[in-house]
Amino acid sequence: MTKLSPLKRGVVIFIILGVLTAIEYYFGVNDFPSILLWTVAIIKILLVLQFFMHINKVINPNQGGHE
Amino acid sequence: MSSINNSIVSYQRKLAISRLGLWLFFTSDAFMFGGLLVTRFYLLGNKSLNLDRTLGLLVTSILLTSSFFMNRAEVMVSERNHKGFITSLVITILLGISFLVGVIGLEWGSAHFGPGDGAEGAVFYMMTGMHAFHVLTGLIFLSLVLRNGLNKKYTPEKHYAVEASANYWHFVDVVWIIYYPVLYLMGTM
Amino acid sequence: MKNSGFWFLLVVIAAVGIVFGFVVERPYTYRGSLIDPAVPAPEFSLLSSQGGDYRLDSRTGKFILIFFGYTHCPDVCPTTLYEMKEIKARLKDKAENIEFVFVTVDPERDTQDQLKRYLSSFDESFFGLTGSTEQLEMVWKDYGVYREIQETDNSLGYLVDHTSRLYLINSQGELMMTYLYETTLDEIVSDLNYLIKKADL
Repeated sequence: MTKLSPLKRGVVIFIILGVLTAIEYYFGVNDFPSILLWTVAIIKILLVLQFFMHINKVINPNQGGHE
Repeated sequence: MSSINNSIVSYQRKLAISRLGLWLFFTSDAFMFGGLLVTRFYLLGNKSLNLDRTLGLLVTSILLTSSFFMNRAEVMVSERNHKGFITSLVITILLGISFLVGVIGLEWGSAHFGPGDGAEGAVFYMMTGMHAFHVLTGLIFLSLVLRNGLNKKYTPEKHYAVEASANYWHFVDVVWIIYYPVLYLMGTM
Repeated sequence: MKNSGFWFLLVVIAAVGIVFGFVVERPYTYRGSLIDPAVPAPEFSLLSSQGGDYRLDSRTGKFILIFFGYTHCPDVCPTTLYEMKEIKARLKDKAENIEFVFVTVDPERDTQDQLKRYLSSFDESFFGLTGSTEQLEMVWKDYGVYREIQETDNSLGYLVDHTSRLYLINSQGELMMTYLYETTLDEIVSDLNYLIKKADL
């Protein structure tokens, strides 16, 4: 993941989020146990927190700059 | 020499503090959204809401895509790609407006119940309304960033406003990532 | 690989979710009073508001929700019948697998026509059953239905005190559950939803 350029990384994460949303929709419409919906939601949140919001910059403030 | 060093160091320090401040705000705002989330389950339990799932999927996809373009804008401003930054930011704003049209215009317009119609109405309109309000303020924030961006105020070294507005936008997306399945997909009739 | 911790966390969460979602099955708790083991439902054959007879043993393959009441009932019966109508609406397609049956505790006044007229204001697919007092006494006894005539002074004539439970017979003709009057609509719908899915009808 770190080998990709930031732009490409964004695309990859977006595609993963899209696939997860499709899976979530399928689970929802077909009455799967709600624990699975929660799992997908948590995974999506972690991906956004890490790759879009760069939460590690707050946890490790010494990285400095962007990316 | 050392004064330039000092100003770089003090900017980094200000950046770190600003970031922390913004995340503290997110934490506080998250409690408010969390309270509404608990309300959904407290009042409705395992009951599902009578909503249009296709429309829900559509607005979710719009918001997700807007997050993608926001990230793109943030990366481009750090790579000094001015045109790309502006384009991506404009697309984000347009998608954000589409989301509001979808939720406030279409969803609220075609809902089978009103805000006063019992627990279902209260939960749905409050949750989506509060979220939509944050989308609206996010759009205002992004418009200001767009105006400043068009005036070439941001550099790869100093563009905290872009980062902050992007984080706010992603925060709003995260809230919807939870609210979407909770409102549209979970529960049995 | 500074992100490896993140991906590890993600995989752990996904694994926990999949295990609890697909592998571990939480047993369903019925909201009604379960009769365990289920007993063969006491047989009866009564006159139906839809014409002809209604024989219980010819209805296997369907779930049957039975309520004992009477058409001159001021409160409990109309509310319960209204609930039964709502249950049918909530179950949508699945409602095909249920029959809603109203057995009278007042055979003197509740003829087939009277029941038909009364039930038509709720749902025309509901069955109203009546018969001779002797026939019905056996059914009331078999199902443990309390029934007592209360003479009144007013123009309504007499009232009938009666058990207000709902009785559920499964698709194999077994009496499996009863619901107290206070049970909510959501609870009954939840149980029926689960049972019909489980019976794979």
